[in-house]
Amino acid sequence: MSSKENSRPLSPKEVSELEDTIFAARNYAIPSEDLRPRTIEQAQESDSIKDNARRLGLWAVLGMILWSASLPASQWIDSWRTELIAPFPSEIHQDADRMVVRRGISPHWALVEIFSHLRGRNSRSSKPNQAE
Amino acid sequence: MSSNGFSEKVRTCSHHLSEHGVPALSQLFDLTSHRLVRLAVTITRNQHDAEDAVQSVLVRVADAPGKFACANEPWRYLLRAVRNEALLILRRRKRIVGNSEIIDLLTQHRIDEVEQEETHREIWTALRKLPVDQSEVIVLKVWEELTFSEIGEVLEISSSTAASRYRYALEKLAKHLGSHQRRTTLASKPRRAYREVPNEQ
Repeated sequence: MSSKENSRPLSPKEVSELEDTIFAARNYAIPSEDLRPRTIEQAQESDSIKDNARRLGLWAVLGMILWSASLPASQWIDSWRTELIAPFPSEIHQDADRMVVRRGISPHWALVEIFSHLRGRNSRSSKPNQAE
Repeated sequence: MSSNGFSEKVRTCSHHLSEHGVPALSQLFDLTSHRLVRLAVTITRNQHDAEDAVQSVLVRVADAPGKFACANEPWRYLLRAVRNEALLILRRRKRIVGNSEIIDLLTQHRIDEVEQEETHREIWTALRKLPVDQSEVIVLKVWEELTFSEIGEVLEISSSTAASRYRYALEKLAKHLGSHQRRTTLASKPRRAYREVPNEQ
């Protein structure tokens, strides 16, 4: 075949025949059997990760809201703590140290004074209507 | 199925995916995977890479179905996405593109098409001999039956560029297939026996 024949444009009939031949081969190559299950599996995994992340985010936001709401409540509870529960041992010792410095008494007497005061306060709070 | 009919089916699938999420992906997969793989494989020249591209795109679509459903033309959106992903994989993996053998292809062998199988194989081999920008136009024009304008949208080129690539591609294919046909014609002709034949003239 000469080079001129090689480079001549295709006639409409030749184009049409060639297109038909190409069209007939469209289904020759097919996807592998495992493409479907692995695609769906990967999509499900991705969806699950997104769901978990969304749930975690919601819990984090909820936790932040609860923590923020609890701040004023904790301050109010703290103000009543000394009336509702006994002071911590460290607080008792701190009060005793302050009393020792202020009044110049011994640490033992300071502790006795503090416990007497606490007993008196607790008996007043448990019987509020009783006259002193 | 006409390209418009197919496009509408893809649009319906996109709405289902948007409404029902991942459980609706199987419907989209069954409808489009074959076409998407055959486009991708003409770009990547490798079935494994082509399937990776298609899988990646479909998973991404299932992950963000709203974007897919809002596309003007969901089918062309998918074609463009798969094409771009295939090109990315091709560049990343730097496979030897010059290889036109199709040994990697998974093919179907139908009993009623045995005679045409050789032709089909030659078509696919000849397609691989084309540059990627020409083979993808052939696939979109002949197999997906898109217009040059629609091909231009998918490939982000002008319709005239698409048309001229198509013309060059057809001419090259005709040359490849024509030369193969001559080779097979010569090969299939019975060899003349080496014996003296009486002159019958």
